[in-house]
Amino acid sequence: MAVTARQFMPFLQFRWTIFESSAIANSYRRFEPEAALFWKENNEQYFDQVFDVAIISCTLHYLTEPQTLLNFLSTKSRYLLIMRLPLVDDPEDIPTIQRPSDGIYATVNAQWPAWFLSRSRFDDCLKEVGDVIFRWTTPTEIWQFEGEPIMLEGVLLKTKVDSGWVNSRDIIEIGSSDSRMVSSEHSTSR
Amino acid sequence: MAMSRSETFFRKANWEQAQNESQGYEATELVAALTARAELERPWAQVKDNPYLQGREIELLNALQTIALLSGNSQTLDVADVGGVTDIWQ
Repeated sequence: MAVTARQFMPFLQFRWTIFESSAIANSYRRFEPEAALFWKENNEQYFDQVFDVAIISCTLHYLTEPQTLLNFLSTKSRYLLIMRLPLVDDPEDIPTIQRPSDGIYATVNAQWPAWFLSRSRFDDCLKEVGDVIFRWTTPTEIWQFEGEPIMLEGVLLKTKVDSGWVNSRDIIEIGSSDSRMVSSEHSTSR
Repeated sequence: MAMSRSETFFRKANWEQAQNESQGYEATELVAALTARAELERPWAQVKDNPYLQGREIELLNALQTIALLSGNSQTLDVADVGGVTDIWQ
């Protein structure tokens, strides 16, 4: 993603930090000089600054408690860019095991827990972390679940950081395509 | 995490069961395979010749451009690309 951003948005500079599992971060760190990327472990202690945007792509539904990460990142980034999320019109989140059928993951028989997230619960979660700027679906990425096609979705939010809602440092110290737009909400901070 | 386009999902009674019956995200074989693929993708900063972007790339550019516009005169964006899938956040 960083290569694409740098290629097509040359008028901007990007300081791009990838937060990954410790195993991946430690393994990939060797690529930092050539990639102009930084790898860090998923740990609150490494979020030592406020970012302009936190990109959460194809990740939330693999966490035991997705809202925990959203709540944290909403205090550490001005915008949240959530991409490639499987939402279902079900009142409850649905736990599954995901098994890739081809590609690199299939070759090592990889499998892992994954949620199909309840749209209504996810929308309630979003209200806690910021204001939706716009949402979209990704027609090029469709998963099949129990015979139904689930088109992955995305959303861009403005968080409470710098909006006058909260002081993020205080919170941490206390507690510490074919894109197709489908809806649009207000974009200004409160 | 980059995904294969062909996936199969098996409904489980609860999250704990799904965790117990799967390998998880940090299996040694998986990390080794991903690292080997990363080696094949070197050099990482190489610009692609193919002008056809994937849907997710177009969506990324749309969103980043919107953020740049809303951020006024900012010439640098600090990006946190949160791709990890561990329970360390819990």
